[in-house]
Amino acid sequence: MFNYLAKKFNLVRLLRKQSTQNANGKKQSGLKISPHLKQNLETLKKTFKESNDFVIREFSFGSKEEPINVALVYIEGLVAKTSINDDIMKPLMYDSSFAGFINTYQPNDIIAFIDERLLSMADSIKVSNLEEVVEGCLDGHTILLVEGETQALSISNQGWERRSISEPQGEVVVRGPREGFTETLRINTSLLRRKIHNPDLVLEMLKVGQKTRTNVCIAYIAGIADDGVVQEVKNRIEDIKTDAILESGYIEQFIEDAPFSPFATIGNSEKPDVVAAKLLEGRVAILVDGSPVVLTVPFLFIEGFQSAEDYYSRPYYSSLVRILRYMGFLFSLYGPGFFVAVVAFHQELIPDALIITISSAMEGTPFPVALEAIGMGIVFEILREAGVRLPKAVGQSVSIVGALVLGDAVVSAGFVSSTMVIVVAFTAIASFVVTSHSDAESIIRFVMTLLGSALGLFGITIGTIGILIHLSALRSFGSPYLSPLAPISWLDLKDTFLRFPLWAMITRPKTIGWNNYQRESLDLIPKPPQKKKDK
Amino acid sequence: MARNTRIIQLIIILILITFFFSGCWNYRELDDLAIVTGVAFDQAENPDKILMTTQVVVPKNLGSEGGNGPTFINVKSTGFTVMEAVRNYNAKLDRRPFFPFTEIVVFSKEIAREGIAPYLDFFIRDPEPRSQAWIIISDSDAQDLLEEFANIEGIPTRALRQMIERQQGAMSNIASSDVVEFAQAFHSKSRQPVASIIEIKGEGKEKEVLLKETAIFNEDKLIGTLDRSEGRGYLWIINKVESGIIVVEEPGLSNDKISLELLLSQSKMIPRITGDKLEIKIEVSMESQIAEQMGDLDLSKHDVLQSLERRQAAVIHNEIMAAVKKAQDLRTDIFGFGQAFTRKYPKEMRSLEAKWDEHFPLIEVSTEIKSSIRRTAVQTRPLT
Amino acid sequence: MKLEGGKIPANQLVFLIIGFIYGTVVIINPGRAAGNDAWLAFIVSMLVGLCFAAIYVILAQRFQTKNLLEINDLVFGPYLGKLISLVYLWYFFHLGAIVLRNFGDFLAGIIFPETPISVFLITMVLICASAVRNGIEVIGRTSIILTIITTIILVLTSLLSIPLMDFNNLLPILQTTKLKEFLTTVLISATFPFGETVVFLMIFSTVNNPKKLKLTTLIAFLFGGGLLLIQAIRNIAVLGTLMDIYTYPSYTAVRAVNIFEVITRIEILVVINFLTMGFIKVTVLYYAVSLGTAQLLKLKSYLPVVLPIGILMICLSLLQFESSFENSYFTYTIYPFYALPFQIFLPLLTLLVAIIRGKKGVPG
Repeated sequence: MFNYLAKKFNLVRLLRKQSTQNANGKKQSGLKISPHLKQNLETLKKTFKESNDFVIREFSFGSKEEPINVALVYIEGLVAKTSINDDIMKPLMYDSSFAGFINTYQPNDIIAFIDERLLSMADSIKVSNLEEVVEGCLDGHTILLVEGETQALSISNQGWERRSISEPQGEVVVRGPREGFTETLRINTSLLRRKIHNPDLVLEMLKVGQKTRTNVCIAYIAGIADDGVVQEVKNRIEDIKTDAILESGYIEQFIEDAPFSPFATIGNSEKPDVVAAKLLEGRVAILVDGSPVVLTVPFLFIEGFQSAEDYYSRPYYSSLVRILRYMGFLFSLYGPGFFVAVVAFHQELIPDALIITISSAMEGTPFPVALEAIGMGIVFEILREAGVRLPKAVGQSVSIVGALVLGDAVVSAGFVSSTMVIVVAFTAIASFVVTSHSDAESIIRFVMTLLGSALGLFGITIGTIGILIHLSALRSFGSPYLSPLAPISWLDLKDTFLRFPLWAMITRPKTIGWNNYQRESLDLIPKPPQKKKDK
Repeated sequence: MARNTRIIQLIIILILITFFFSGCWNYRELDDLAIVTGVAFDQAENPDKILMTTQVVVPKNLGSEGGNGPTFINVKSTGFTVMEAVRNYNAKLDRRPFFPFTEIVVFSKEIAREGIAPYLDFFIRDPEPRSQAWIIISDSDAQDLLEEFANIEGIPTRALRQMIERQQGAMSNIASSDVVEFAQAFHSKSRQPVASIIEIKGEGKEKEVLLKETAIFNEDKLIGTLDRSEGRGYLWIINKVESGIIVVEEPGLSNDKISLELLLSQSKMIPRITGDKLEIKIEVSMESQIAEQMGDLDLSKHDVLQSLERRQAAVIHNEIMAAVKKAQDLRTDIFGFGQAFTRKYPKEMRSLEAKWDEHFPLIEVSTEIKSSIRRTAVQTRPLT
Repeated sequence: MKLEGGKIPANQLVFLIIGFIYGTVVIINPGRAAGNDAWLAFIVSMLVGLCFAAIYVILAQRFQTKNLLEINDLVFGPYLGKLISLVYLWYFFHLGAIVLRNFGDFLAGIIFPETPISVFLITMVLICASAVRNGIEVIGRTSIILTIITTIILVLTSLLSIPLMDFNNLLPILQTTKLKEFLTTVLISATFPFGETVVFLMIFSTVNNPKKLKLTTLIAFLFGGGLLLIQAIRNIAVLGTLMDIYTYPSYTAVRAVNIFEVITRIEILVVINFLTMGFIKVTVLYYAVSLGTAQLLKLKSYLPVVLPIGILMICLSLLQFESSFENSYFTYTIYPFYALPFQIFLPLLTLLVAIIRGKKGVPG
């Protein structure tokens, strides 16, 4: 045991040493592009370890006497082939010679000439570094290298297979836009741009992941978002020194404020309208290439109870639904715990009308009620996991078998009381009401059940106080997690338990975007038009 | 961050501690408990001891898929004190008796005559029993009331409770009080408690249970009864009449009866001290409708209605006066006249309170009744 | 050197004080000697309590960012000041232990009769310790939510027991109780809970807007006292003459609630109130003791002393009374006189000496 710990400790120390050495010895190799085309190509081939999707196309154009030797390098599958054919090779090989262009102009700077006169591509930049060439290839650019030049053209004509925009499965709405983010960063940013037609929407690009070099984009609205928060987000993302960023979840786990908390301190959404709304409240969004899930910070506890649809439908029903969500959340936290506490400690709390029903249902079940609750909780989590992972058709049958057949059989066999099945089943349904906090919910539900079966309602109250202490100690990028409840901010309560009418939400949330707080003019309440006086 | 780890550690330790070390102290499964729905107290053979009968439900035979066995059982136990009797159940019953669902507490008349306060202490002091259980005085042995009789509920105690509560709402002529009300009255120097008396009639299958009359107490000792009309008189005075039928005779020569159904009633007692004389005026304002007419008088006439109203007032007046007379004869202030005087004349009452049982019979009671008949149901004229 | 870097806004202090005033009064009734005049005695004691609080606030505002121990040092000099600070710390510590004991007595006596009292004390102190370690900001935020929940529960239980109320029970006013009893009740309720707010002298200095202190304290006293007044009236109206025989009148009063046979026996809500408010009270006292001890010992952080103090507090609360009878005897007869020096004489003395010696806190 101690040996093992000592080994662990040594490993950690070794890694520490290494990383400091790396930091010291690490310098950009910064290999310049040499004028010799062949040499460049050799280096590139070596860099890509002769992978067979790395394509080099060498050709020449211009006059026979002085042909200009060039090479196109790209990665098969990342570029649009037709665009290489029509927009790069054709102008160079065909159009230029046909017009006798080269001969006429005799350019000094061939690269600039090609870029400015020949290529019919919108997006191309000059690079002078082999690093950049490699990076360009990996991003799906096509690189044009020219013999005798120390610069190359990086032409952006990415064209890989991408999923089209579709409705996100996780956030279905009845009213509101159906489109969702995809796996492609550019499409995602374009979706945001299309929502917010404003140059103040800033998109900053970063590359994260030492091996994957994933593109990460930070989006915020200048003038609304707090500069400190933006800087903090940037710093934290830049500090990530890891191999791979495969999904935005990686970023989330590296930059969150409270890694030991069951509660998420970073929000996420797959819907551009949701993210746009959060940006407009002064939050910062983090888009990661390869993931349709966009992160938003700061994330407050109450955001879990807000849904996009609340704002699209009229306020009365939205407010009702929101209150129901809080009730569902509370029920799913306390349901089994409270039930166990009442049945095992405080039987006098059961209403007269129910005592006979409950006690006759409990009669003859072999296990203590605490065990029943915990066991059924575990069974439910297993069923849920099975249902989520399986293909849709099978998943449904799993849930039917689980819910109906198993539930019924368990009761009629007398293993578990029917009341317990009702409680657990309803808890399960209630836990789907607030999906943002669902993982914390499950954990806390178990804790509450344990506390309830150990110390009754005293245990549950103590557990609740403990959770409250924990929640009040949390912060998400500088904002207290429980705001606007604690610290209390009266203005922000307009969007907490009730959803005030849109014309009454005059200010942006105080804790997030307070440097520019007015979001609409004061007198927006719809009024009937003033009647013209009859003459 | 380190802070958070500590919290997590703390919480984990807490859970472990609570779960492993305290898991059994107060933990009791619902199927370890015998749910008591009613308790009856009788005199045991040994005169120092109490015979306690509890009614316990058998959940196995109740509920949606209940079995065929009995839905309840009655268990007897004796002891010098109530608590001892309760503990003695553990030697008789396979489960621990559990009192929060107690709906009625029955006392036999003998016990009630000797005083029931010693028994009630258990229901007030112990956190477990419910203090809203109705107090019932049984005409015969208290334990007999818990035996099976014809009822719809299936559990005698439940049926008795329903009867008492129905009676209050629909008839209002027998007063009843629960443990707390009884204790409040008993504890007060200027008010005496009451309770309902239930009688058993018939044997075996024809056994019937009925609410008979109101028991009146001095301190905690049963000293007399109020019959049904006196009972309503009592309820008029303390403003507890909720509903009921007032039967009056038709004006005119025929002795045909008319039933007036009470709709609304409010009453107040107004004490006054003039010199040495204590007076109290009962103000009742009530409203009723004609629910039934056995004769054939046209009631839509104004003067007929007025005379009906006067007759109605007379009935109420008589009921009140009968109740007052009974109580004054027995020298027991069940109405709380003393409290009314204390509120209005606290200084005078300080000297009077000590000998209230001597002053109470001397109080002059008068009534002022605002009687009105509002509607004649759906008919305005008699059938004939 | 500042041990506590956190600052709380004035509106959090309101909730903290309300929670502190609720404290154990949610369940223990200091005014039972006055019978049906308890509510009147309560109003008078609230006014007396406000006078107490005025002294504390004046003191705190005079010394802006200084807390009680620093004020003592400034006013009485380093040696005498330290001694007086020590005496204060003992009082806070002892008060914390008493509150804990009330807790334990109630839970182990009424709700969990078979469970040993130490379980509740240990659990409670652990949870309070975690709050104390998180600092005043977290305590403040937690108190907001807990106080709001308690207020809702208090109002709800009072509304639900309206059918049980007989307001005639409030009459006659000031006739049945003797003056001596009335004054005793006033004294008891003034020292418990209102005078106990002297502990906030340790916390006033962390409020980020000291100018608002007066208003804040006034609002908190009126609101907290008002709600307790509602509670007192409810208890008298429901229980009537039985008021003085019950140990825990609030608990018994709502036991009788029965709405449609479904909402019954809601006394457990009162217990939850008691737990959450007791938590706030213990935490505030615990925090003050921890901070003060660290300050006296010139430590860099108060975190190391938190757990030892908690353990000592558990020990004291277990050892100080043999039984719950002894506890209630102490609360109703000895405590008021024991607490008065700390609640009024010492603060008043400090203020007078400060004025005479012309000591003042340097703002900022």
